[in-house]
Amino acid sequence: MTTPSTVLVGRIRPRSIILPSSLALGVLCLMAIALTLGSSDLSLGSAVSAAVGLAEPGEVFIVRELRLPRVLVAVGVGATLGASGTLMQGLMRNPLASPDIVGVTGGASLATVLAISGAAGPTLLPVAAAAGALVATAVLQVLGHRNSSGARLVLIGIGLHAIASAGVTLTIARIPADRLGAAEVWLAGSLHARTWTHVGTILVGAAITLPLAFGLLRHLRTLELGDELAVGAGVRVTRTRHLLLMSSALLAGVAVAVSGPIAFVALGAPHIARRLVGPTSPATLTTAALIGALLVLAADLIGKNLLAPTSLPAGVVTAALGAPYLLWLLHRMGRT
Amino acid sequence: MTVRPAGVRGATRAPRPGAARVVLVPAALLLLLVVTVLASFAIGSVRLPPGEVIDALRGARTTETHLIVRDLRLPRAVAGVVAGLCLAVAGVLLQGATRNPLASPTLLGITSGAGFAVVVSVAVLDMPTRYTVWAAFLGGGIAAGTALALAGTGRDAMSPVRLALSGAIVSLLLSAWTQALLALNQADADQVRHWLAGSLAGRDAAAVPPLLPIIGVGLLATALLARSLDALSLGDEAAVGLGQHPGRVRLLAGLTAVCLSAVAVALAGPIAFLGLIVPHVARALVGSAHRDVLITSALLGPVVLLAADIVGRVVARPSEIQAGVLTALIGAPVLIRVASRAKGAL
Repeated sequence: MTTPSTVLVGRIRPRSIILPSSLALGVLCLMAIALTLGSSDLSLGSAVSAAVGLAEPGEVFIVRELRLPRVLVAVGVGATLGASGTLMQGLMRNPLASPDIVGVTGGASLATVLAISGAAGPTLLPVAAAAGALVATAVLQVLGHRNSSGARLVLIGIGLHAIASAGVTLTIARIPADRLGAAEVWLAGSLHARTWTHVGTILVGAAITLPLAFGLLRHLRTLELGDELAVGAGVRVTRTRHLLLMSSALLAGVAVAVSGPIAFVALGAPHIARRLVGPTSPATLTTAALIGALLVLAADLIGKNLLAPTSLPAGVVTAALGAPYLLWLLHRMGRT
Repeated sequence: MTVRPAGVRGATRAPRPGAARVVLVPAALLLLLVVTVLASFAIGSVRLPPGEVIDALRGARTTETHLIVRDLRLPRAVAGVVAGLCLAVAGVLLQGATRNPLASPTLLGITSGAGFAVVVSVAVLDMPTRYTVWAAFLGGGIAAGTALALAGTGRDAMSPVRLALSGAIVSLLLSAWTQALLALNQADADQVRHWLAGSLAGRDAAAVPPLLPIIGVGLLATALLARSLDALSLGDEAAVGLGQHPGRVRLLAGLTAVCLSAVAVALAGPIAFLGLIVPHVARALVGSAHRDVLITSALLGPVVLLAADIVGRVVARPSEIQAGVLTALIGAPVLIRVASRAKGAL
């Protein structure tokens, strides 16, 4: 659409600034709420002053050591998952493709559970998760290399996911009893008891992978025009596709490493973002990352406080609330 | 759709094998089934010589062997035979009714729907286990209905990818809810978690007799549907020309498949992919006529499930690997192969 007004405004439309800013504001609000709620409720003022170290030691400990790491991990995990899904859905041209459906999350889960059962330390888990995600993606590419159509890749991915989940069940069945609890909590996709080590991991991971995602976005937009046009535009289609899939896998692997598999976010966030700002663009990627952060923060808040003292892992909440949305989405896709 | 002469579609896929093969394959499978059942009596954490197994079955001994064979391994074998048969036949029915090579109880969400319903009935409503099968029915039926309704609208209605995605999402939803229920009911979780992996261990032989009427009606309906499904495989127009009502056949085949899958889930838990693998292997063996495929699958299903159970008992001794895990490991590569070979509207 090149109506005179869009030409005048240029590449940056007001909406692509206002929307991300208001979403970022929403993320900050949820973060503040998450800092105040818990087994001992704090006022917003005391939570914030505790976060900067200006409250009594007990409150500072609660906020700084318990709640702040959890909140920051939620934001990081949500953002990387949202970005990962955006790349993959754009690449497979299928709005329902996502790392959790095509086996990437499954591969990361399998690798991590194997690492836990082998008593790997917390520093090794992110490496295992990223390696698992990359291996799953590589297998997906090898199996689907002759027919790169999105639909076939999705089907192959569903098969990979099944293999990975069988592997996880198998590993869980044989895991030493003292490590079973840790593996099960991790598998449910929980943000419980996150530490500053986790924050460091997700920050470093996001700092490496998110710029990669933004860098590759340009090529994705060319690929979306179709292979022939992309070749005409000078894009090396196969190599670009591989790079995009790999970076999507890395993004998902980083997230899975610190929080376990949190379902639906990588699938749902890009979808909501596209409805808000339109097809793939830097604004969509930013929006999807912010929506991902919002979703994970909200899911963790709900899971932690709704049925207190029982707490539900964030991954269970996102899946339970997200799946009906997906069903509705699938239904609507059929209509159009 | 272009009109083809009757029979050509089947013939281009796989040449119809000679009558000898259609008889020999089931006969060989029957023999294999007997061997597998006997092996499942003999092999396990305690290995028994065949002579002792036969003695125990005849009731000649009242010792430890007797106990192992009659009380542990017999119910296990019975559950394996019945569940394997039901899942394999349900898979043939679903693939025939939807004309979709990927349709199967697992991919349509029937197994996870039945699983969710069983968890609700046991862990939430505290219902006695004799209601388990009815809960599985209801859950499996609702899940399959939802997945089929979702896949059946729009341009690419019922295409393999549509159906697989609909089923995958229905399964995702239901297993998330199952996880949530288990997280909330830690006390009941252990009891159900074992069952959810799809295992034949610790089955109660008394669970089978009440299910026999359902199995009987299901198999009778399947036998009556075989020719209609053959007609359906020529395309809806040709089927109408042959005097069939495609909609009615689909509905009946779907209902029968849900009944049979529910029986299997109630007996053995959610066994992944068996209903997908077996019909494909059967078609490769005896061609695509539904009567032959159904008979072959009905024999092959129990063989595969019992073999998975035996392997699971042996490879990880002293612990066990659930049969459902092993069928998933075998089944997923089959799914990948079928998906990458499927032609047409992908």
